[in-house]
Amino acid sequence: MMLEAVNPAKSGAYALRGFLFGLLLVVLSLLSVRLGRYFSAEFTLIPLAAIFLWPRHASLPSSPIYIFSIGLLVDITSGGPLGLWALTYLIMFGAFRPDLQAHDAGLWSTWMRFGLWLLLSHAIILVLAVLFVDGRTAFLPMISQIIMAALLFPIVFYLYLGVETLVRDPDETG
Amino acid sequence: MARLGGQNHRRRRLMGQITFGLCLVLAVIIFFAGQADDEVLSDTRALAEDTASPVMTYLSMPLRGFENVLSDLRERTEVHKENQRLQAELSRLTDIEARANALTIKLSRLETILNVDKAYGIPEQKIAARAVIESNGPFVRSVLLNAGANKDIQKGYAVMTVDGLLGHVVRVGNRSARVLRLEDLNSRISVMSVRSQSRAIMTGDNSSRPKLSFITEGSDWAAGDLVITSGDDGILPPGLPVGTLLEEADGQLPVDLYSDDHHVDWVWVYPYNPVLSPEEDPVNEDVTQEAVEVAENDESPTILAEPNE
Repeated sequence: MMLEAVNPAKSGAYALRGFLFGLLLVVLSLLSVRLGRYFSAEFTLIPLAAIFLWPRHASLPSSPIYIFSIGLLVDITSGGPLGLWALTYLIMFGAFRPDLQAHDAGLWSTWMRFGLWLLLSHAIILVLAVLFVDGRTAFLPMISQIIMAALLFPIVFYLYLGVETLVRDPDETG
Repeated sequence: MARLGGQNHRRRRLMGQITFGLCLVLAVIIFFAGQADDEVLSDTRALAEDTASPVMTYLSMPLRGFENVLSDLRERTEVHKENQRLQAELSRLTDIEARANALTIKLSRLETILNVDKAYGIPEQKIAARAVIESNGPFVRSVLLNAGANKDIQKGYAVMTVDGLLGHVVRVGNRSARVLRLEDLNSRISVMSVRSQSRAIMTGDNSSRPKLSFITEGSDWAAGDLVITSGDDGILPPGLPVGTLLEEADGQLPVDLYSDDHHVDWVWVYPYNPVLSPEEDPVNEDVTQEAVEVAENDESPTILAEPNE
């Protein structure tokens, strides 16, 4: 995909916007809602949406650093194996380059693509966990968290569109 | 001009690829070093958690507030029923408290007469801390506390909520500590029944009800038994309330945890120094020599323990 040229300062600002949105989702991922005694909704996987919705035209040199930082922060807050999410986010970013995609295809199509992202990222997590992680992996919370992240995605998507509208460069909109 | 712009674009792309490659290598190194229990990385992680802990304390405030609103809404619908239940329980517990006080006095007198080591049992000293992050992920069910070595918290210490045992400390930073919950897949603690004194290992399985395992033949476990820590593992103090045994299901004995009722907020960390084995705590040679000399000079008859038949 050919991208029109964007000046470095502007593309750096786009990457920073992606990072700040990622931080917001990391905070949101700390939320856990208990419904009744035995059901607890966790949103640990929602920061993946920040990588999926990484701003178009974001600076390539700084984007991987920001994505790595978000992943490391998720690793720290989740208490899981250090580097696992950082590695997964970077692989997903490198493989699918969300910074080259436009995220204006409408909710349904974007939602479906995010669902695929969730499954693919978990395939990577599972492979890494089975091969290298000491201790056991609980699959049930993993599945429930995939579902919770998928359910929360429309809110995150509209939040992203809202942020984008607020900070959009007037030159782009005309 | 266009050529210059193209060169810049190519240079930025190359820089981007190099940055991406470096980040990827760094992530791989961190991941594998973490698996190898690298000490430097472990310290770095503790440092990162230390840094994150005060920030998370503030960030989690609105989240905890939101969670409490939801929880309050749920509780408000049952407030009348709950009030009646609490009144009944209060009258029952007032009687039990009076009996417990009498027993404490009696026990204290007996301990003094028998010269029992009073340090054994539930430690009286406890450290208050606040849970800033609860994590119930696929790899770990843990809680991050906003207190660490700065409040003398050490690895292995038991962590309690007002309801019962929550877990034990697995990692300590200067201002933070990570607690492995009883429900975690990797959690194993030795427990016993208050009624029968039977022992077992309570194994976490990431469900809200851990199961009893390694139950010896002839052990007497029944639904409704109060489960407490036995202290046999030498890590946790004995006597901490854990939960109630439920009916056997699919050949397994699940435990209904006291601490699994709501979000964790304030907790108590119990400092505990386990009884060391003779190998870990050898006798000081000088002291032994002195004891031998005293024994040699002592003319009182030696009483030898006779083997039981």
